[in-house]
Amino acid sequence: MKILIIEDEKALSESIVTYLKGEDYICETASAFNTALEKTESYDYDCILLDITLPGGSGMEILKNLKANNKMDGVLIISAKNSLDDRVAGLKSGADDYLSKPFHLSELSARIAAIIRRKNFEGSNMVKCSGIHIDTQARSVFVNSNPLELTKKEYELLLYFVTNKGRVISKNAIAEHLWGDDMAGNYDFIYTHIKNLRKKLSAAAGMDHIRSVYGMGYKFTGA
Amino acid sequence: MKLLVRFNRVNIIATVIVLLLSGLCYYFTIRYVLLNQLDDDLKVEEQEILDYIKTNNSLPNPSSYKDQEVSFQQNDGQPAKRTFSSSTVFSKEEKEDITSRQILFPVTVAGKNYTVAISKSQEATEDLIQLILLLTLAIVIVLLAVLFIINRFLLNKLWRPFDTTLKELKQFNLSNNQHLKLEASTINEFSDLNEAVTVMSNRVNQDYLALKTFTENASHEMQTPLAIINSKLDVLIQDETITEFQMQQLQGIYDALDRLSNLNQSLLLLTKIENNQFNERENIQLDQLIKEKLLQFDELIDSKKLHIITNLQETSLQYNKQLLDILVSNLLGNAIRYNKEEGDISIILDPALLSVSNTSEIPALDGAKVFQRFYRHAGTKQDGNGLGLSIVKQICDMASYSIVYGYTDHQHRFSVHF
Repeated sequence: MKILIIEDEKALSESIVTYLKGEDYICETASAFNTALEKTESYDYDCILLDITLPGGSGMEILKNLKANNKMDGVLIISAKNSLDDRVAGLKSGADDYLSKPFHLSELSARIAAIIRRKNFEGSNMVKCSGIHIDTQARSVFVNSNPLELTKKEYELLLYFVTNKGRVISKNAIAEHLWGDDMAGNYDFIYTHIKNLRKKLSAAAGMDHIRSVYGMGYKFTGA
Repeated sequence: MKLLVRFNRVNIIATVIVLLLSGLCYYFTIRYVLLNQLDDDLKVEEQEILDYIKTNNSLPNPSSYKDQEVSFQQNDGQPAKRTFSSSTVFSKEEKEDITSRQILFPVTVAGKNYTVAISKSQEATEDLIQLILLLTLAIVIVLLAVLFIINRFLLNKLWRPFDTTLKELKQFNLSNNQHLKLEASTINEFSDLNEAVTVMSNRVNQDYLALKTFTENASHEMQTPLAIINSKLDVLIQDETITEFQMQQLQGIYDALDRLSNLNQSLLLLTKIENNQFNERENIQLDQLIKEKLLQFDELIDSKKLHIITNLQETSLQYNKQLLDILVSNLLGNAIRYNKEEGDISIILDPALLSVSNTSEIPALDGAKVFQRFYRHAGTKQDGNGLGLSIVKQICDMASYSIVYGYTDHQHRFSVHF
């Protein structure tokens, strides 16, 4: 999977590259408008991370150029301007998703995975990981081909873990993913949901995939 | 007191006094002139009588006409002095007082002293004076009427540019960024005023805009460094060699970062509301919105074992969906967050009012400060950013809703009047 990161802040794009390398993603970066435009015109990417404010031009122009050339690349806008107008304008211009800064890399990774799933036409609504099959279309989970009943939050949690498998996700990132800003700083609910998910998953799979990291985060491990 | 009323009062009083004084002057001047005239006439009669006596050496016959009377009286003592006088006698024929002018002078005919009295009616003179007084009065009345009409119609029209300017100033609202619509006037004072007001409002608008742009830019500029810190932490915690102690330190950074991001986003939100960037309006079922929000807060409510009492009437509002969502979210969020274990929340909604009240361990808040930015009660834990209620207030202000805080029966209550 090829990913292009168009972001003028080197420090940020470096972190993104480091984090995404864990998956089988091949990452390229562009930090200015012109190089970004060249790359998007010359190559195809599975997903493009697009910052709106770039030296030399607006990310929106790149987006319009992509659409004008009938490119099928998935586009995830990452913007510091968290305004509804930008979000609406971006999505109207054909972006697949919008993530406002600051964000957690685990959230970014989950969004990229979702875009690639949607872009892929080979019946890829299925996310598979060591015997666990998640049908993102039907929102159902199978463990070793047996259906697993999960609550809405548990399902979201599992999908989040699986798309970030092998990496530590902080409690803060989990709380934000599940509840947005409404429950900031309230981790008790995470414990409850993770406890229940672990119980159900262990019973079905015969092993505990979720590992707690010093109580500050969690890691989903494969087989 | 209105300027016009004050001006009219002085103007009218002065006018009336001047007119009355001039009336008096007329009265005395004309009276003096006319009496002189009358006296001259009497002197002519006197001369005629004297001539008659000189020629005939006898007295003429006393005569009495309509307005002139001549009489003679013999007097034995000293001859009388020549005098003019006015006197009023009641006339039986005319049934009214008749004023007449009289001249007395001595004559000697055949060694005998006589006093001659010639009197002329002063009636014509009095009539003239009366006429003049009436005229003066009529002029006063006409003048007052004219002044009244001028004030009523002309002055109101003249002052209209001023009234328009005043109205515009009263409606002037910085956050709307509207320019004043002033009426052009050919009157120097008003056009000067309008010019000064326009210059001032433009400057205020510019300053305000600069301030807002600064806040917005500052908040935006902070987003990127925050994003970098966040991403570096996310990468850092992947390191397998990190010890528990180091993890705890990182957790502290995460939590502080969350608070900072949250604060920044709230500041941005406040600026955006002030900038009127949420101007889309739609019809919103507020009762439905509240029910949805309660579902979202379900877990928090359950964990604190709160009792929720709702009385929600069907209510639809024409407003921005996002803003109403934030309004409800903040009010309910506070009612839950600052509640005590097994506490109560009651939510009442009807088409005119939304009221959210809750129990809490925090005593009554300072009503004057509760909506101020960064106001927190001393007993409040640091998990709120101190902007939630300011945002609620700002949202209410934009919609011209009024929001009131009250504390009764150990319950904090926020009421929004639509």
